[in-house]
Amino acid sequence: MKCSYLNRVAVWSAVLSSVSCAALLLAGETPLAKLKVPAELTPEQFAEYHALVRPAADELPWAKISWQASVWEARQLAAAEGKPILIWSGGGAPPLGVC
Amino acid sequence: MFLRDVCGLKFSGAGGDRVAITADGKVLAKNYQTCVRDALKGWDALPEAERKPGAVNVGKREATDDDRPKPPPGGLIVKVYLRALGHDDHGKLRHAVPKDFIGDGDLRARYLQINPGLKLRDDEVDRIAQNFRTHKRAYEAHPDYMWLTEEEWKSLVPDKPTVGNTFPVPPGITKRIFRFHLDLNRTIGDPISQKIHLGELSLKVESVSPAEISMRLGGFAKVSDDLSGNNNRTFEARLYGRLVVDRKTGTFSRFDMLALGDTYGPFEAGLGHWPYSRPGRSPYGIAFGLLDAAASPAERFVPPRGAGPRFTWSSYFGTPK
Repeated sequence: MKCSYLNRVAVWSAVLSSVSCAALLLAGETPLAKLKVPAELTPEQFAEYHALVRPAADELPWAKISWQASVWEARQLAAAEGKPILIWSGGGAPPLGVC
Repeated sequence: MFLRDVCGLKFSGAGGDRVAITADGKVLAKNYQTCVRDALKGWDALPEAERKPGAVNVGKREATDDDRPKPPPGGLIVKVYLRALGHDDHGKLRHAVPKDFIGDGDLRARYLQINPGLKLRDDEVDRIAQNFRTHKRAYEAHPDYMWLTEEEWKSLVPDKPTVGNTFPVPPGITKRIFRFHLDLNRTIGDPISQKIHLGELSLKVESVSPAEISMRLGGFAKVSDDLSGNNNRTFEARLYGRLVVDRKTGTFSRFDMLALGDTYGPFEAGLGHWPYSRPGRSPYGIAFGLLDAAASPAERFVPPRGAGPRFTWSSYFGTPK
């Protein structure tokens, strides 16, 4: 009898533990539980996804320009090469920064 | 000083300007949309004597011309790209497309799903949908720069590398990556400093040879724009990385990292984002890599998060300069 009782307690305890875990999962308490990305990436997957996030060949064409970091340096270059200067300014340091 | 005193220019600030000048300060064009075309026309109209190489003597650099934030000496500049992603019909990650944001004629319902009770006129819904159809901003890779001091990047190089050894990334670097560079608002609004809910990063030595040490980075993070504690937009991600140290130079020859995960929840108001958040969980990716050796001079000076004059050493590096 005693043994059976203990077994029942153990079973209930296990069930309760499972319920607790499920509740936590439902509440979104388990970190990253809903993420679909794998815990590890193969070298091939890593290369593929890294390339996916980086700019495609036809994106950000202005980023291919050799922008100067200061007006004085741009003036030096423009004077030496006989060219005008384009200044692109704004919050977030366009065209190379965040906006 | 030169732009203000010689060219007589005033800049609008965050809104942005495109201006064309000559090396000696003549303003050729100021219209944002037609600047390049106007500038070339104005340039061609100048006398040959003013246009030829060497015609202008620029003079010495003024001290105020170099009043800009600079990366730490001997430090590492890491180029970062952030991009909204989507899933294809087979569940595979792909670039985001307009349908991911505006749905299939159900934008209003999607709006209400994430912002219940919000009142929207039909023309507002149409305008938002049109923005997402025509502007590339929401879909393109967005650049950023991460700076590490010499002391910091050297702390990632094991003294006695042994295959299989694992060690945590120092907290200062981990916190910087999570707080400033897992930026979930970037592709649709202003950069934000985020609240870190949880996360960790570690490095594992994978191979060691006389030429190089190869390490794998792994970890996870949960961050949000939860600045007011109101259940705001959150980014949950796993982090992966491949880092290689060139033992001859003692420097990193590869510093590739990747954060992949989901964003969800409504954006906090006032972050400069478009007035719309994708409902549900939306895939999002951030790629890190060493700044290309062929990068433009300007890229070596753009501060993290494009902070410009607002960049402060202590808030970013967590230490006084």
